[in-house]
Amino acid sequence: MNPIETSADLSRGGSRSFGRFGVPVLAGLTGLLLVLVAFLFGAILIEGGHGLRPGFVFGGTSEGLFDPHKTGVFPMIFGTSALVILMTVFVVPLGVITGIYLQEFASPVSRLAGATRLAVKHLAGIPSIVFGLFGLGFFVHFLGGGLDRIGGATEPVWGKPGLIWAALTMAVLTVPVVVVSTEEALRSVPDSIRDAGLSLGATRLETLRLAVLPQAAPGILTGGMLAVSRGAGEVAPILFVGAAFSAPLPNSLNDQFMELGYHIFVLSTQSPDVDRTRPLLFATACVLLVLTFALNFTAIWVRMNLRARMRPLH
Amino acid sequence: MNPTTLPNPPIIPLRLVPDEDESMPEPEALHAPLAGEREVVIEIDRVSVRYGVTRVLDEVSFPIVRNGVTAIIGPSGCGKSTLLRTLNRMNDFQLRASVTGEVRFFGQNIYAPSVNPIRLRRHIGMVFQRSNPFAKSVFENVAFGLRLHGMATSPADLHERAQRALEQVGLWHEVKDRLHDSALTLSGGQQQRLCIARALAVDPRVLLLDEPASALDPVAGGRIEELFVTLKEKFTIVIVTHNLQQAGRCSDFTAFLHMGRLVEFASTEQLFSSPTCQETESYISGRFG
Repeated sequence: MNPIETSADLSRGGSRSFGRFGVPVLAGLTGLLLVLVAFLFGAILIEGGHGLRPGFVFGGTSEGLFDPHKTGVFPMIFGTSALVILMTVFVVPLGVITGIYLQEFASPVSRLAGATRLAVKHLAGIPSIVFGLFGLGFFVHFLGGGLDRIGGATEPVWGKPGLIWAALTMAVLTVPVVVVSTEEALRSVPDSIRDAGLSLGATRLETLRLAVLPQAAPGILTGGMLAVSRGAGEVAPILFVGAAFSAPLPNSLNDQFMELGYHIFVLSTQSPDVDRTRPLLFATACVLLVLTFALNFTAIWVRMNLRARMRPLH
Repeated sequence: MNPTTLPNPPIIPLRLVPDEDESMPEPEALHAPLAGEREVVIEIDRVSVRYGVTRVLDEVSFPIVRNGVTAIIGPSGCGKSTLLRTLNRMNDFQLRASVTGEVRFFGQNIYAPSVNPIRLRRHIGMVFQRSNPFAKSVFENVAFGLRLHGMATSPADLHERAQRALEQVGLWHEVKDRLHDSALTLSGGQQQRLCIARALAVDPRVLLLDEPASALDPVAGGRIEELFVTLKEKFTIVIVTHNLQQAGRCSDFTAFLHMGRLVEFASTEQLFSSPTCQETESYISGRFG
């Protein structure tokens, strides 16, 4: 017979112990990340915070592009907004419909769905400069040039960089975000909701429209907003398809335009006197940052409001 | 405790293949007298269901009698829920499910090519195991089907019909002051009764309930059971349950399924007091399942 154990080793220590310093080290590294982000924002705000004054935000560029005291960024804000709005008009319907098809209607073994998912996944991994080249080749030269040939134009009307081509290029760049977040939002709606709709005599489309989509809306909207704020910050894709060094406010879809991100690039590479335009550079960066942030916070706010309406109160 | 003093559990042989003898009467013979007494709403006729190569239901036949509560009982995986979903063609959405045999709803085979399952489901409502209210207000949940089918003639009529449905499940007095709160603020039992009200609002002929009380506490579950007494005056009810007490208390007829076969169908009283089949007796006395 085995002797009966009457004691157990409960002492601290031993090799499995995480130690007194384990968790603090992890916390320290996490804190480091926070410090980095704080430095980034701090630097831009301190050096460029003066860019948030109305004279700069609403000022034009007619007094000289590189004069920190006279120039403004209104044309760039206008161009960025126009680009982003137009892009949204293209990307949201395409992305949301694709996401709905993939998640709700495609059979799990469908080749079309599988191929589309693969394509979308790869699209997300393509460097953004490549989209710029694609936009130039496909939209500007092929589509735009083709339109001009059909219209018999002697000078390029559509076959040159312009707002619409930039927006379409940006839509191709951001469509994976919208597709994936639509799919995820729909997946998060339990099948029991679909069962409920169908068992009440609704068709699949009615169930989707009346029961599933309202519940998935916050997630889909978040995806749309993420796409928008990603689009607002990208420069490389529009380098060749519409952004201009200096241009008046666009008044048609095929006009070139100025854009915040691209302007930062211009200021830092094309300036005749880099040191003198440095405050201008940071001021513009600060405006872009604030704009992108505003978009992100709007997305969060809208989502929280939509969710709050569906959640139990307690 | 010395384990050797525990008695061995009794081993009940299960007959998985029907014998030739009379202990396993033909289903027709069992339900013939019952069907003669009362009108049959749904006639389940030699229904088999396969998922791919797996046979889930095997030649099941029995009637669903009008204004009665029919319970479908049996151990887990016996095909109860599948059978229930066969009755309103919710199986259509199951990939690779194939149904043979006929389910006749007022004489019409619902698997006939001419039948529109959308229209069928309006007449055969369903309530699920987990309550599944939409993330909308209490009122909008009940009004969902009414709006969908354009059943209300005016906003007042819509409200009246919604109220009636909520009254039928005894929920009206609990929610009348919070009709526009989210349905998700209700308790579990209230949510399930709301789902029943939602199904009743469109005036179905038959209500199918798939273990409606299994996710609820006994009190909330008891309230659901109590509803059947009044609901069956207006509707025909089919309930799947693995709770034998529940089946015994609230149903008029009971079908016992095992391994996808109908073992016995009889009035609940008869099935629970003097089952014809050895298998039924073993199951209801708790010796397997």
